[in-house]
Amino acid sequence: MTDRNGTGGIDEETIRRLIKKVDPARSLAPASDADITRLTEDAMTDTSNTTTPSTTDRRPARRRAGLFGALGAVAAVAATAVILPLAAGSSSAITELEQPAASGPAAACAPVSADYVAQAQSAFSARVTSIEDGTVTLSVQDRFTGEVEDTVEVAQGTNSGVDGEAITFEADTTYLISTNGEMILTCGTSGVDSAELRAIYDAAFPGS
Amino acid sequence: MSPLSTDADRARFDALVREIIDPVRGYLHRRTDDATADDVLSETLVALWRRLDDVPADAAIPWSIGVARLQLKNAERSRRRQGLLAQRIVAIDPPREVAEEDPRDDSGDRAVRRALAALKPAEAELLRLWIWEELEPREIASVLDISANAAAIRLHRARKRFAEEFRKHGDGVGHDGVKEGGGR
Repeated sequence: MTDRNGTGGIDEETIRRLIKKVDPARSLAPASDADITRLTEDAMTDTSNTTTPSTTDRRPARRRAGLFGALGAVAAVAATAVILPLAAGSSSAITELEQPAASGPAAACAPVSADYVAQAQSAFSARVTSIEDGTVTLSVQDRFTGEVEDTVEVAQGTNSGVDGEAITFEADTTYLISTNGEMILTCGTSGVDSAELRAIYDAAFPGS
Repeated sequence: MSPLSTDADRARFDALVREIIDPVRGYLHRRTDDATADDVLSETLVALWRRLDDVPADAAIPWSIGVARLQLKNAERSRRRQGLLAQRIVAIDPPREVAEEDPRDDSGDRAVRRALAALKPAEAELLRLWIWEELEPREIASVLDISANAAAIRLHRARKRFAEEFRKHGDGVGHDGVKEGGGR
């Protein structure tokens, strides 16, 4: 093997061939016409949602250079996959939350539905009590499901939480928040405690 | 989309689905189980319908894969709540390849899988998008929402890292286990 492209001794075509050979979808049949018709109709007639993400919150197509810098430690953490077992004896109630790192196109999330929110491990409303050095502290008010302490902290985001982005929290504002584990669900699932979002949370957790 | 969608919108959406459905299905079936792949495909199509005007005509496939990628991440977060209550997940990015072993693998294939598994998840995903999804760097940029320049640089680095790892994991693999072109 000659190191023609500075790729450590294997050229591009060989790499391509090697990895293509283990493609798990190499025997996946194309979608049938019937499937396409059914899927298209289902998508156009999907009425399970009452709100759609605002288009005014979209970022430009090209990622801004400052975005990763602004996310700082959150972005650094998001570059690795880390699963930490809870220390023995520690409480399972949440006190610290994570926001997703900015990623993906500034485009569609499926609109929020009560069905989706109902699957969250925890859901609660909380009011911002302070924002300092990029850390937001919130005081929990209503609990819909799951265990969360009275105070939670989360790294400040730079977006609206609509398109899978981290939420930018504002002082003295109350939010409805859903989480799986310690990760806040975005795509509009968590956001300002508006009448629309509250209606979804109430529908997701009747009797709470 | 407004409830008063026009026939033109519906025709446009139908054409879009026909264009993107196999690449998006492939993307999903490579990274999760069949049931989740089907669910996420439906969710992706709803999302594309709702934001039909935002889909770039000249990059519909990578755009749609990017939407599917986001939907898949959300779906995986929902699924992790089962069976992982005792663990605290800090961050996971991007979606992982699902089938680590295949009974059809020969020794060269196993070395490839080990090499991919040894890469950082983001590096392996770049190679998968390049080779399995057959996307060019500027299309990969669209999926990951990074600049084309960043995509090209990271892809080059990922290839180099793969070559290093493959050579490490390929030790003990006879050359006949790796089907390469003649003369190497």
